[in-house]
Amino acid sequence: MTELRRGVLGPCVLALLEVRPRFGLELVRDLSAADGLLTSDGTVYPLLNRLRDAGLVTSQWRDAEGERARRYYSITQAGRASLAEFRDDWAQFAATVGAVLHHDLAQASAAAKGRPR
Amino acid sequence: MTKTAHDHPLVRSYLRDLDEALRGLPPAQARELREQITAHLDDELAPDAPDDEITAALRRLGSPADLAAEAGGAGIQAAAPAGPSRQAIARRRRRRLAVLIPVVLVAGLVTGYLVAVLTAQPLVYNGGAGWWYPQDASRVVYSNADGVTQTTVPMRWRQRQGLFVQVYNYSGWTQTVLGFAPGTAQSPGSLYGAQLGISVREYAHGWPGVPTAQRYALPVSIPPGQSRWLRVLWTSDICETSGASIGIDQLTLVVRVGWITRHEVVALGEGWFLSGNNQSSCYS
Repeated sequence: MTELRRGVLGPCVLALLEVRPRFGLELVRDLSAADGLLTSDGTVYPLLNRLRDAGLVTSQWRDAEGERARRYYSITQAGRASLAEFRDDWAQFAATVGAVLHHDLAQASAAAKGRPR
Repeated sequence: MTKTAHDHPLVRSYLRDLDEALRGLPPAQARELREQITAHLDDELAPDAPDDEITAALRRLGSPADLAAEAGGAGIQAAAPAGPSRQAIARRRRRRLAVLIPVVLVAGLVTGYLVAVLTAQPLVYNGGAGWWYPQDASRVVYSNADGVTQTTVPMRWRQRQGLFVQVYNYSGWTQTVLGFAPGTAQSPGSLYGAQLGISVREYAHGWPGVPTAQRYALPVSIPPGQSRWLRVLWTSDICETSGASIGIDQLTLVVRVGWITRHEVVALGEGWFLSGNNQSSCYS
């Protein structure tokens, strides 16, 4: 389960940033609100750095009046494209896994071909 | 009460442990992660947050060791849907190494080969020598000038003259004599070059047979540890004045060793000279 969680955490971060830029703690809180996604708050930061290194996320400092400066993370065009691709893959993958888990191999085969029965 | 959350002893202790745990990461990566964690704690904790709240926040963050493991590639890279993962980079490095290692090995072998060939001992004059034609051999005058022995015969104007010397291949490589090196002295008696021949066989170890009884050819390969006659024939056409002499004490050959062709200077051991004629006899 830990590996699965790790596998989907990146796209979830991209999905949150697709709505609007967020700073670190904001992201952590939003992800924590989705029960079971985060094993620990700290793991978000290495992930953000890796997404940034992959060109999917950028960051910039914002210094709002009356608040301390914060690093805000935004999604890039490449990040949006990657997220869109993941959404397609995920829908098909989830349908396939769901069908197998419920012993419906015919449905699983159809799902794997992208043709729900 | 402390000024910021990360001044709290519990937080400071956590950050110290984090610094320690991140020591294995590249410095820039470690600095960035520490800055992110510090900012996270500053955002999450009020400067006067009680110990239990700080302890809970630190627990939620995860242990410094776990954070360092995540940052060091313990698996979070799988979450990145694009871009090279650490494993991909490692695989790429391994592939590059797989290409690079043979290249380095081949380069090393080639370099070793070149060094071995280029340092192979050249052919050397091995003692036996003489004038090729009997009419010259019977008129030899030996002299010594400045410690150098000189063998001199009269120049026979516009006639064939020649000499032979024994050469030995002390190297571990077969050496193939291809000819004279262009632009070098080939004989004592002609401005127009000379004919080079190498005896084609050796009769016994170190003995190339009677020189005048051999077949000469070019190119000829001399195996390691074998001896050959080197014969130089020319038509004398240098009109030297009477009382003067002209000669050579070395020959420069083009020799192929392995895949390499190089120039080898064979010192002839003594000077080979032709003494001049009465100039008027040259063109009479």
